[in-house]
Amino acid sequence: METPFAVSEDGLCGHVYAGKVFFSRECVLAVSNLHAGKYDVSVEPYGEEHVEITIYSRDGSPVREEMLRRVMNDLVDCQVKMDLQKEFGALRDRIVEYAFAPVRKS
Amino acid sequence: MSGYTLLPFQFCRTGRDEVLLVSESGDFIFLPEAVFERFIRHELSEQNEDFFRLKSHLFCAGEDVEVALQKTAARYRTRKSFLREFTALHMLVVTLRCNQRCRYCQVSCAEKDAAMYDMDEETAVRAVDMIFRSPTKHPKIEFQGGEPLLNWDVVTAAVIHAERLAAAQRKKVSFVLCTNLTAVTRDQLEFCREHDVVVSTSLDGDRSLHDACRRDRQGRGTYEAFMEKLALAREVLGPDRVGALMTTTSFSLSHLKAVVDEYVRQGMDGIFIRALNPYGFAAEDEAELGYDMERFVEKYLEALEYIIELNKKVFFPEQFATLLFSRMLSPFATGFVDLQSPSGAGIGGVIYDFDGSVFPADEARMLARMGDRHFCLGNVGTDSYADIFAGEKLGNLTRGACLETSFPCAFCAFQAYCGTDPVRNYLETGKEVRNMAHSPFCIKHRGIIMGLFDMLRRADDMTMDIIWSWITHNAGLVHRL
Repeated sequence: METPFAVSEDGLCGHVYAGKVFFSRECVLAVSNLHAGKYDVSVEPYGEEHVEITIYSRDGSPVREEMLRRVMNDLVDCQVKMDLQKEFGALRDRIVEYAFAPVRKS
Repeated sequence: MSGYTLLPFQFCRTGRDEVLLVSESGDFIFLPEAVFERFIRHELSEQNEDFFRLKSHLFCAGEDVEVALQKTAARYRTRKSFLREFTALHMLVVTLRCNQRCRYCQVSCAEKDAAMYDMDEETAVRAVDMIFRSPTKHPKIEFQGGEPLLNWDVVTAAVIHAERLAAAQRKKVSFVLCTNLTAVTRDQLEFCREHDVVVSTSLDGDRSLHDACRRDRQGRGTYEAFMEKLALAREVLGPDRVGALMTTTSFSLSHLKAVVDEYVRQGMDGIFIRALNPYGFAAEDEAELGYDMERFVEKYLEALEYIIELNKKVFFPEQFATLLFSRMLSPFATGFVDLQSPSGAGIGGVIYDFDGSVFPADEARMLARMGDRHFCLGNVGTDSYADIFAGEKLGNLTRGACLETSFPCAFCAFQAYCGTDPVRNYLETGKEVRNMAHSPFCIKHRGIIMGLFDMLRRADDMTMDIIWSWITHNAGLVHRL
């Protein structure tokens, strides 16, 4: 695959191809949901190794490549955040536990 | 690979090859993208200058993880200390009647002679009794309307009853009268002075901007009458006991500098540039009064730059920026019920309608005026304090209104500074919890917070002094021209 995203010929939708080796199911759904407030978004399998996120314009305005680039960057950042969450999520729980421990005692 | 431990943080890219990191306790740091990538891969040298910054700001820890967690927890507890007080702000709607008919009135006020919309004294006393059941040592009672001056006997009865209870329970009660001022009398102002009641009024700008929306029931502008009574209020109460709020409409959006100038001219001690809320008459007239939130953010930030320049000559804070800067630059809680997590609805502030119905927020009461009582928590006439404040309804509302557990806010870099508004969510989508991305609430707060971070990055010493003078409310921090 040369580029991980492409605008359709009529310009009314765009496709982002997310490699399963890089992006988790949760990440793909989270980023799709992030853009679902403004666009119609569908998620479909694309071969063995990819997932296709299709973004449809709601008001007939063209979907631009810049927008697809943003979705791609959102995927990367979201996956990093999810990986980091796995790394320090338990510490976050401990911070909250310590923070409210005096309240629990009283 | 270095042996440090990453501590919890959120991040976002600034678009300038930099990443903004915000810690669990709201501390922030900018890192070049390349350094960030090395940092999260545990490849940053522990001798690197950025590593020292990251460690001292508790974004990572060496062998002292436990100490770092305890420090972060202490800051986190301070930031969430608004929860300790539970409901401190209690708003009493003593009447829905109003002598004005402002175009954006959020409560769709009633005719001046519609007496069935008045709170009776028994209901007011029951509401005050309930207020003093709250664990807070510092209850604040705000009288709202309609125009509360039109049901003055109930205001005075509530104040006197509250003072009696405060003395008996050794609590410190404070009062705010939210009034358009145009019907106020000297006697009423003298009562306010004697009972330490602060006046909060409305000023939208100069005569043309004020009169564009703030009109009497015959549709005439109220600027002149307001100015006359403002002078009287200041004479009786003193200038520091009368504050004003403004509401931005499409008429004033492109003239915010003129609004600021009017506030300075009238000797106000600052300004709170507020966006229009889509309730009541404002919702009915949204096509003419409303605007895109992106545009509000743009104009707000322009006005803020203007106010910063102004502060080189005179101390004049913008209150919303002060609140957000305070959250960004200090660990302290700011107690602004409209922007908290969990939401301040019900647990930070609560509103008692004229008929004794209790709502978790003014907007929920406005929604009820629009025919939807979804958020009604009970009634002071029939329900106990426990029914209302420890009931399932408020519990569920609060549990669902936490940024930390809702997407995409849980991953947002600005989580430590932002809040949720379940009532607004419900109004816009029919659900208390929604996907906040692209919502007007998110566009506004995200846009403004990003603008403030940009301002901090560019700030010279003078600008930082101005910002700190706002946070500490210490005008003397700035050496003015």
